[in-house]
Amino acid sequence: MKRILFDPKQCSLCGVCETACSLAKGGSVDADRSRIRIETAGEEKPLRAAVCRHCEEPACVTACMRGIIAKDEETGLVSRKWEDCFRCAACTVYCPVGAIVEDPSLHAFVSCDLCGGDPLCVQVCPNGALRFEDDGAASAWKRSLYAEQMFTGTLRTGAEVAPLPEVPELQWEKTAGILSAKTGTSVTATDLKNRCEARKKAAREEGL
Amino acid sequence: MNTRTQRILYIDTRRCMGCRACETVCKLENDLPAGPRYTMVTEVETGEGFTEKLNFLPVPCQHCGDAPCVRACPTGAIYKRADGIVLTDGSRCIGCHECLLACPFGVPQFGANGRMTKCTMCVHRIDEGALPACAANCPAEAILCDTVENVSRILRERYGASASYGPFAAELQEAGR
Repeated sequence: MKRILFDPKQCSLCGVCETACSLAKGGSVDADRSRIRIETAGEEKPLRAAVCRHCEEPACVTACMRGIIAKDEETGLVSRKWEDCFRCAACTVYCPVGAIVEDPSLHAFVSCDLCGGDPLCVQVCPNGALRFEDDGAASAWKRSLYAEQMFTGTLRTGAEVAPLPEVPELQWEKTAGILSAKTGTSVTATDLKNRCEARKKAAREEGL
Repeated sequence: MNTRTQRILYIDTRRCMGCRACETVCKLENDLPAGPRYTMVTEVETGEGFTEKLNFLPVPCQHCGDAPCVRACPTGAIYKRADGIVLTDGSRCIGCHECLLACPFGVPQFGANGRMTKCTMCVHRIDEGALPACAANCPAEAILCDTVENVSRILRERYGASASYGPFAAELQEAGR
């Protein structure tokens, strides 16, 4: 099955994925409610994306006391009947990737449902740091990237701190356009940019 | 990492000609179905005009000294043996794909059952004292498998044996040696 994969080297910590997710799923901008969260290691260093991996043997399914979480044998999707959730938080505690968040408006714990097969966060990511791929394609892409960096002499070691990649000016308009169309709310490029700055500031303070 | 005990797969990109024999024997040796590839030969074009060149690099597991996959695995299914080989305990894997995201080389593979499998450096052959299938069958001897110290010794021997080899090859050729 296809999964959401994250490349920290291409992430500019703009927070557009979090904005898009909370808008599409909760109707308001609230990064805490987003089902995808970009975790940072220290100052302005994107580390990993906390988003449901749809594990083969999900810990949340075992943990759920009401048995409302299930893994679909055919599609591989881990889904839940959130209406029946009584918020015991067992799934959040057991999830190894920290992908399960509480949605106060739904009165339930929720996780990524891949937007029915075409995740919005992947569509709006302005730098292409998020990818929606199956295992084989992801592995081949990573291997090719490593080989290319090796032969062109651009291989970076983990110790080197590279500056965050900048989002191209035109991309903001495009991203705002997709976001407005998909969520039915008017989001402007300036809004997104301001939120991006706020996100980076928060990351900086977190790192200090 | 102990250079005396850590085993590595060294790949000499000057010798690799992209025949994919390693990929084929790896699949046969490990009885792999369609999908997982423990090693994959990648192709990279470099240069322009007369210097344009197609480079090949087989990417098996690097069996890192401080492996990011071992640190990323939430269930402790990935471990490092005393001789440096990184192995997976399939029964403990929950298929969360954290290792694939953590690995800089895209090595972790996922079979039909969704559990992680990857290059084991043919541990069953190594325990019998044989070379891994890829290293034993590479027609160009581009893949070496030994401890870090031994690989270094082999490379120095090769360098010494051939002046047309190594970083100063062009200079040496020009000087007529």
